[in-house]
Amino acid sequence: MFKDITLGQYFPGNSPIHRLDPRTKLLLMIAYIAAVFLVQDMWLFLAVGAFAVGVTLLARVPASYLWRSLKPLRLILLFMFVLNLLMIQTGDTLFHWGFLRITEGGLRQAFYISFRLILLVGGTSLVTLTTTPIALTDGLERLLSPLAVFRFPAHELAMIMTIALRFIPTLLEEADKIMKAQLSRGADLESGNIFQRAKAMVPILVPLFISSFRRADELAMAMESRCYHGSEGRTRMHVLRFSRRDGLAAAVTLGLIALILLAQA
Amino acid sequence: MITLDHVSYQYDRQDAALNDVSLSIADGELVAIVGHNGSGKSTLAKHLNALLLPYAGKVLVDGLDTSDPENTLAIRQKVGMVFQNPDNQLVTTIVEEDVAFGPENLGIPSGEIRRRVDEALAAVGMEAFAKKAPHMLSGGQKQRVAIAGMLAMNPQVLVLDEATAMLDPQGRRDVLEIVGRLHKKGITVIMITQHMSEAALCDRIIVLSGGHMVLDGPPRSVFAQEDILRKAGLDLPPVVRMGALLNAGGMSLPLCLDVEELAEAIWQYSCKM
Repeated sequence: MFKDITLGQYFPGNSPIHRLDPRTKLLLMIAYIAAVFLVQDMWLFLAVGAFAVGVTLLARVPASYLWRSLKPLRLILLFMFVLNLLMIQTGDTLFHWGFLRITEGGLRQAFYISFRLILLVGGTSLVTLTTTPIALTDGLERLLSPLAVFRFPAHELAMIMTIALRFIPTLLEEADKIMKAQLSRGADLESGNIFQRAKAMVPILVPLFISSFRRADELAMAMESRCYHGSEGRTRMHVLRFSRRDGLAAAVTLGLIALILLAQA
Repeated sequence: MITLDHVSYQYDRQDAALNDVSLSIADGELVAIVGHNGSGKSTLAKHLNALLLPYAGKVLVDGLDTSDPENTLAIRQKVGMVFQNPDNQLVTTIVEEDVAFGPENLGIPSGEIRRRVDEALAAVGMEAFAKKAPHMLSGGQKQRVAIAGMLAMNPQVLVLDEATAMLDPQGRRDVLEIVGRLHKKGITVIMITQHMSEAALCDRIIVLSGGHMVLDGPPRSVFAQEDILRKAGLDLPPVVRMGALLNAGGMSLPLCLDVEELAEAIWQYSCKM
């Protein structure tokens, strides 16, 4: 049942975007997010959107994958749109009926906020779609490692993320097994109100917790057996290196963002 | 060369898990340590790479005392350990990254790690799975990856702590076959096991019972001591048991370790009749 679970939403590929250093992608993502928040003009939103579409095409990620990550957004999008439409009361009145009043400013803000959300989720999804989870954690570890000076546990965080990613499928599989075992003993997980159902989860969560602790203990022992002793003196098989491609990507992205922001000013 | 010198160990508020055990294992040996649940065999295994330190006595690995923290990393590099549950010893989300985990901890340069990882994966026949996620593999395949992870650290000794106990017959055969091959290449192999038929494949069997070492010798001499084995809660391997039963029924056969040998012995016996 859980065998084919995909972690994160990585779309395997070998495009120029896939081959970018994860650090480049993470940093440019931050710049992109800043740009999305700073833009206040319909045409410039379209420009940012065009950039996102361009990257998608370059990454050869099928539109359906991107759509899948945007889909859960529908409700929030609708909610935000209506909320902004009704709450912001600036500019000419476009429509008036009873206590409902839609203004030009409200309509504009509603569109802005929707575009912003779509561009935000779409753009960040592009990063997770084109980067393996392990490359992401790796990139994050390197980016945060200068903070080690302030005793920030960058390596430990990355190790925690890696182990979590490694064990999510294992624990899901185990939860499935325990659930079936309890069902076969007559446990009722599906009927009743939300509280009764939450209570019915206890016989599943308790064994899962206990076995997780046992796993953690055994894993710690296995890691120690393999000479794990923290980040000190540790090397890596895959060394991240910035290439010309990364410089190019950074120049193009930052250049476009600068142009867009200049056009706004 | 591993030497245990009057080693005792005790978990909190319990009876001694190991009681005055002394033995030594030479380079290149293929040894089985057998015992019933609670006999102390896993405790003994964990003393071999300094996961546990003796409460009394001394463990020396290649002359290095395990109780000196300075030696811990060097000892763990020399003594690779594969555990029982294949799920709980793989650390990362990609097979080749996991094999690289040990060498990375040892601070080996990246090119050299790459070479060792490829070699180790080839040695266990898992090179086709290098980029796969561990949870997509079968138990036996995971155990082979775990062995590769040890090989990549260039160990002298490989300890398998009931490494086949959770595997299906095919997985068990694969793992045993690889272990046999590694032993031929000169690696010392120590198998902790409850399966007497696995122990029969080794050159030497050490039997533990209640934290004491009760037998130590080649399979033939150990299996000849059925009473002591039974007291330790262990059975003879099926083939040996069959020979014993035939002897009890009036035949006189030598002690045979595998089916072919037994068949040959029965043939010889019936020719003499």
